[in-house]
Amino acid sequence: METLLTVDDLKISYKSGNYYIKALDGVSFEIKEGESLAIVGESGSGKSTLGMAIARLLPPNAIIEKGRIVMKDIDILNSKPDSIRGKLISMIPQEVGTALSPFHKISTVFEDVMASENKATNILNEASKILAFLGFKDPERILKSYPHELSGGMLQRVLLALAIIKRPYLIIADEPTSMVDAPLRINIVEILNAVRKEFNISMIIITHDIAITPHLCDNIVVMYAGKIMEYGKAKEIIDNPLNPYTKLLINSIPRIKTATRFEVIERKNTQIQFYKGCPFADRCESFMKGICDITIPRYTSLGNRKVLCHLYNDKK
Amino acid sequence: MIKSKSLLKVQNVTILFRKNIGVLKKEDMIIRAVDGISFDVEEGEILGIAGESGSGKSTLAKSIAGLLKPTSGIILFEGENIYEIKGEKYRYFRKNVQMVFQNPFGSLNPSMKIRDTLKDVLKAAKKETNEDVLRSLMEFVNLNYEILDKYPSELSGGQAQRVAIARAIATQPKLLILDEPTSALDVSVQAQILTLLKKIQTEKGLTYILISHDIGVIRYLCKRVIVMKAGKIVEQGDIEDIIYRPKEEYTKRLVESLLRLYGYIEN
Repeated sequence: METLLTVDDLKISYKSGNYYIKALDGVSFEIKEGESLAIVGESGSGKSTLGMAIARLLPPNAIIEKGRIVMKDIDILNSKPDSIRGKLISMIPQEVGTALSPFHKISTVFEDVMASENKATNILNEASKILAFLGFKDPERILKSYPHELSGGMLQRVLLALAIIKRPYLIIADEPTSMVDAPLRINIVEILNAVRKEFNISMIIITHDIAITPHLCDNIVVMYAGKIMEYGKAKEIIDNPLNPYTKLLINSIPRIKTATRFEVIERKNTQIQFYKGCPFADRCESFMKGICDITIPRYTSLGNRKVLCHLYNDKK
Repeated sequence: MIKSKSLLKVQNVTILFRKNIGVLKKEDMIIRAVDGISFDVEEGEILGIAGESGSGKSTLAKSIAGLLKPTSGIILFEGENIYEIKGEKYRYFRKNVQMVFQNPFGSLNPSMKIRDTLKDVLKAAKKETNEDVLRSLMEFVNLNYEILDKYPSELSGGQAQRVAIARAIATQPKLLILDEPTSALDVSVQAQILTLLKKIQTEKGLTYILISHDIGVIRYLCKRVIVMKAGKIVEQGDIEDIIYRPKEEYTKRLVESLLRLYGYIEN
């Protein structure tokens, strides 16, 4: 498979008054054509910044210090946002309720999105075909509706249809399953999988819902404090997490079938703040004094897995 | 007045909301948020209330906490109707029923230091407000003493939620209502807060009503669960029965999809 997207040593900070807050600290990865990648991590880990950087949607106070994002030989960070969004990359926001103008019918939005295309095809015909594919029984009625007449789940599918209609190479979905109950989560997973297959679009799923990732994604990037802690195949990481942070993350999910026994790590070294060394050192159960608090670990490749941890630095 | 055995009795509670749906003219729609719900809570029990968003579980919680008078039906705390008691009895109810909300930053006063927030609550309950009391509270929820001199905006989500829990248990209540206490937090922080809540319950013998959309969270803390949908109780019983032997169509669908979703994680 050909490489679709390359992110190379990306460093991004936010300017807040006189302070600079590091959001991404040297992030590198690749996505192959047709691949689906999950970016998981907790709030503040930089996963949303990464998604926004790729879609060229960073807020004005974000500063790209270093790094490149390349897609199909196009330098994303140095191109006009308009030439990228929709055509190469589409993003589905987390807040679907505020994403569409309340004054316009859905059909108008579709026409606006396609306004720049000088195709002879009937836009609304195409739109209703996609809406039908996404599971709407009466696409004509949806096109005639205003956003407030649709539920959150329906709006999400409308936004997905808007993302698909220009046939981009990549769709980025930000928290597609947040705050919905289990049957709907499965429904969203099934729809996204069907879209990937039917339209051959690659996907980046930004999520903290680790449970859905093996159903939806080939690979996972686990982020913590702006760094990739672990990269690998979704099922393998869930089965056997190598990085202590990934372990903590997966062990923290309350189980359904078996009674949960949290292996909770309270912040052990709360008094100490590490300014150098591993970003996870102060919470790590495998913390090694004199190593983790002093030097930044290197990436170790174990098969197709990449791990950032001192535990694996000496093993080859 | 005859005291009932159960700590809390919810009898046929219905809560209606009026929503204006007219664009230019006045046009009302009645929403049945809670629709004729009855249940009992025994002393020392942890009752879970599960349901999707919009099922009315948070509205019900507010009503039990004395914050929202039901349209019809009664809520009895130790045999007294909580919307009819006054004076000393009302203060007793207030002191003994505390609530922890989903968003800790929304429920802590942003212009008050944590110390003053806690002092206010202790004063209202006519309790000691000296440094020792405050420190033992902080210790109980695993926080540093330094947090006392901070403002809510200086705290992380997990720390703020611990403060909210400290405030709730400061008056030594009998019943704690937890409305989605961990759904605004990251999973690893959620695990810490859940362990803390379990510890508090075992040590103090408190009664909890835990509201959550996450069956895993309920499974961790509760024995008995009520499943709500569209303002009504769909099914209730032992959490293991609900997971392994669900009876109603909705619960079956819910559990089946959860087990599918968690298939990779639980094997």
